[in-house]
Amino acid sequence: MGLVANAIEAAGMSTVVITVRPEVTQEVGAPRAIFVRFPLGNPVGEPGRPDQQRTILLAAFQALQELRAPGQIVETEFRWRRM
Amino acid sequence: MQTATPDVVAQRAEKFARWVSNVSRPEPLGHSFVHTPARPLHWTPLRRRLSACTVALVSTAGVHLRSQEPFAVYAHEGDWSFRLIPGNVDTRDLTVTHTHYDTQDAGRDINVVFPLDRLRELAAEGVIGRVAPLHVGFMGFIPDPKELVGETAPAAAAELAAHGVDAVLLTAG
Repeated sequence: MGLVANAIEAAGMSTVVITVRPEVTQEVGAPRAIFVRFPLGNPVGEPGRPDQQRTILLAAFQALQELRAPGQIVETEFRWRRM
Repeated sequence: MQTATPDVVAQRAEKFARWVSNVSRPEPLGHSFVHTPARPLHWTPLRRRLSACTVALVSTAGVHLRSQEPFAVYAHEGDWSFRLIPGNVDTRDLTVTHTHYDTQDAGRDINVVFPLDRLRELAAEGVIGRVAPLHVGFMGFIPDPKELVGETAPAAAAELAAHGVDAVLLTAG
């Protein structure tokens, strides 16, 4: 993911990655990222939960606007609650 | 484990609001970590305010149109190709092919890996300027990234740039 983000950023577009594997994102590197503690397969949340998905997107867009230097991964407060 | 009673929800909302207000501080953030990655990172400052941005989605979750060729998920070398996804697709026409994560939830609601419906709503509300006319799907099982880095990721980026994209949201599986 970070490799693709980096290529897009190099082409003149700003990027933000939503990651559930921050150790991988950290190793590969991404210009901007947020980390959500969700399972692999659910970076944007649960199926049929547009409210939750929207909140994740807003957090990603907040990081897109606020981060000022490459390589930061913002750890969000979101936790997976499904039983 | 907490249940989502109204005051728990309010508590979480307040914590999130604090995080959001902390993000713009110049000193080290409690919730972020900076690292030195293996490769130098590029940086493009956001060129216009978000509410004027054309925003695209790029995924490595194996998203593609049902009418497009699936990714070669059983190839031992992986598959570094990409699929172009028009911005006006019916999201019911999207599917995923990937063997390295549980795709069941993506099958129920593609937005969990490719939030196009949500992006459209944010555009309608004016949070973002517009949904890009083109989006991109990759399949992230690529053991040797040489072709991805050298060929297909730059090609996908060029397509997005040619369609006036300002900002890109990326998701893996």
